[in-house]
Amino acid sequence: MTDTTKVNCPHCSTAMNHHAVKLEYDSDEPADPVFGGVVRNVYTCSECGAVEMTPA
Amino acid sequence: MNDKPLFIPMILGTVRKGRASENVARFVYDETKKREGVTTELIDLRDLKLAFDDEGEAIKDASFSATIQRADGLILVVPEYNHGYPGLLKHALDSNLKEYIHKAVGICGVSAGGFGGTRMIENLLPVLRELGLVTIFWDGNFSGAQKLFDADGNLLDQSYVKRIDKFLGELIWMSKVLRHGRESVAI
Repeated sequence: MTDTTKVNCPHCSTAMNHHAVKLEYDSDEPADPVFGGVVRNVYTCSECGAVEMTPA
Repeated sequence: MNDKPLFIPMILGTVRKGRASENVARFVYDETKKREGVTTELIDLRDLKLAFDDEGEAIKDASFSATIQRADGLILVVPEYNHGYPGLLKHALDSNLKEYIHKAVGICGVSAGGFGGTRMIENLLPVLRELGLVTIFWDGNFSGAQKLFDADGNLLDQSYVKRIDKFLGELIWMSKVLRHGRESVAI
């Protein structure tokens, strides 16, 4: 499930690295029927270390 | 590779009055501060003042969240209460989500008896895994915690210095490797 979306760090504008996929179980959004939770993409900024999650 | 100092804060996982874990936390905190290329911070659950009328990210504390987000690894100093970990620690850990992912964590178990919190550690490991943390395979085990320190909080058994040195070595290595992975290796 490699993500090719480009996400820039909201703090320093550096291009972030997609390093994980996380299931969120407490979201109000509808859960993925296969995984049972909302699938999120997780990004990390190599410059400032910020972590961001976006909908998958 | 990123050569910024690693940030490895510590959570003191109990608010109980007279907690023996506080001496352990201060000892491990001091040992962590001695490590070159590492910065740390002691997070006391007593200071978080989290709400109890809700759970999870709904009660997120902005400062706690920012500290964990900035972290490269975590040290948990946790007593064993009735073979488990304190409920307030779980309450606090659950208030974050993305902040933990692919970050290293090491546990120092504290107990009055002879097992150094091992039963608590075994119970806590699956929780940490679900949060997205990466557990190391070296623990700190502080047995007979009430007798390990003098009245001023000074360590009485120096063998723990070597034990914690091994624990920190493993945690620092894992923190370093995972930071490289988070920042540079796409999934």
